[in-house]
Amino acid sequence: MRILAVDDDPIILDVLTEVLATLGHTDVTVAESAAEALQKVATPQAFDCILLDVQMPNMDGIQLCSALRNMRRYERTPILMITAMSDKSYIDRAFAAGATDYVTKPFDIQEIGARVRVAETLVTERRNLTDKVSVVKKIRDTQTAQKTFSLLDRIPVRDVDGVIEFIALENYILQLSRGSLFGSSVVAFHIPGIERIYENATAFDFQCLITDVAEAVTDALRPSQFLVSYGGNGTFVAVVEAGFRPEVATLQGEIDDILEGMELCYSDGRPIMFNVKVGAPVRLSLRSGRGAIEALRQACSNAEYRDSDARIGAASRWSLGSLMENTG
Amino acid sequence: MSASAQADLQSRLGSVRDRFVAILDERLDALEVLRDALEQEETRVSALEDIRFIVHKIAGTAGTLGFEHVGTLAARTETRIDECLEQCAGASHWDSAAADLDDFMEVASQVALAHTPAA
Repeated sequence: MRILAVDDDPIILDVLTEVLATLGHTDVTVAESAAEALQKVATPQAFDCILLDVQMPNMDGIQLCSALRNMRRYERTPILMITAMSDKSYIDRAFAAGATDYVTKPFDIQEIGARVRVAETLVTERRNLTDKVSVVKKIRDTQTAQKTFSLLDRIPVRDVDGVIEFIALENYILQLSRGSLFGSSVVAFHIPGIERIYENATAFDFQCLITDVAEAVTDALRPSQFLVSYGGNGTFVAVVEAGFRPEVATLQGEIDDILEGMELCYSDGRPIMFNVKVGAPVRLSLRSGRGAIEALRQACSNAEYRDSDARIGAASRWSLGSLMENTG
Repeated sequence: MSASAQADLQSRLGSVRDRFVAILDERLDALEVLRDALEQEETRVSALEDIRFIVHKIAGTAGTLGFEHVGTLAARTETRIDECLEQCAGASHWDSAAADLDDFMEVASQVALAHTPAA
C-alpha cells in the first residue's frame, strides 16, 4: 500500500514512518505542507492511503482533505486525520470534508496500527471490487447500463453537502463516543418499496434517486449540524447534533414535500412515488464503542421495520464491526 | 502488535527520540525569547500565538515518544493560551499562561538535559 503522510512537524513524520515500517508498510512518502502534498499527489502513481495533520500553516489538513476529495482519483481513498485537535468542531469539519477516520495525538501506536489495517482492508476490498466490475463490464452490453451494484451496496453519493461514506460515519460515531461527546442522535430514513424500485431502475436511475433523496434529507435536516450517509437498501442514516429533537412526522412531511417538488421519475418518464419513512431517533448518550454502532443499527431498524420490502438482512452493511474484528 | 514488533519499534523510535530532544532544545531557546516578549504589552498577543504554535507541536509528539509529563504540561499551556487569546489577554489570564509556560519549560529543560549525550 502506497501511503502519503502530511504533517508540518518532522518528528511526527519520523514517528509515522517508523510505526508504518514496523507494520510492514515501507512505501511511505512524506510531505511537510499541504502545498508539497498536492505536488506529490500529482505524480502518475496514486497513493492508496493518506494521513493528514489538521493544523498546518497556510492550507490546513481539512482544506487539503477537501481538495483531495475533489480529485477523481482520490474520491474514495482512505484519508486518516492525525491531529491533536480533539474539539468536536474539528472532528465535524474533518468528516464533513471527507475524512475516513480521525486519530488524536499523542497517538497510541496500537491504535494507529489498527486504523491503518482497516484502511488497508478497505483498499484491498475496493481493488477486488474494481476487478470484478471490469470483468462484468466486459461480458455485458454496455449500452444497456446494467447495474454493477446490488441493492445492499452502499453506493457513493457525490456532491451533496454533509453526505459522507458509511465507514466514515461509523468512525465518526466512534470518535464521538470516545470523546464523551454525548447528546448527539442517530436517525434513519428509509425508501419503502426500494427493492421494487431497484428492479425497475437502470443503474443511472437508481444512482440519481439515491442522490436526490440524499439532497432532500440534508435539506430537511438543516440548519442542524449533521452528517449523513447512505447505508444501502434504500436507507440513509444521519448523526445529528445535541439538542436535535425532531418530530418524526414533521421531518417526514418536509422530506416528502421536497421530493414532491423534485418530481422523481425513471428514465422512461414513469414517476417514482413513495413517502420516506423516518425512524425514531436514537440518542448516543451513555453509549460508547460498539454500543454507539448498535445505535446505528437500531436507528436503521426503526426506519425499516414497517417496510415489507426491507425484510432483507442488513448485516452486510455493518462494515466497521467486521473490519475491526478481522484486524484486531 | 507482537512483543518482537514492539521491541523493534522502540528501537527504531530511539533515534526519533534523540531528534525530538534536539528539537526540544531549540524550541526551548525560542520559548525563552518569547517568554520575555510576554512581559511587554505590545508584543504579548503575538508572543502568545507563537508560544501556542510551539507547545502545540510538542503536545502532539511528546507522549508518543515516552515524555508524557512534558506532553501534558505542553497541552495545558496550549489550553491556557487558547483561553487567554479568546478572552483578549486580560492581565490575570496571561499571568496564568505565563505560569503554565514556566512549569512546562522547567520540566522540558530537565528532560532535554537528561537526554543530551555527555560531551
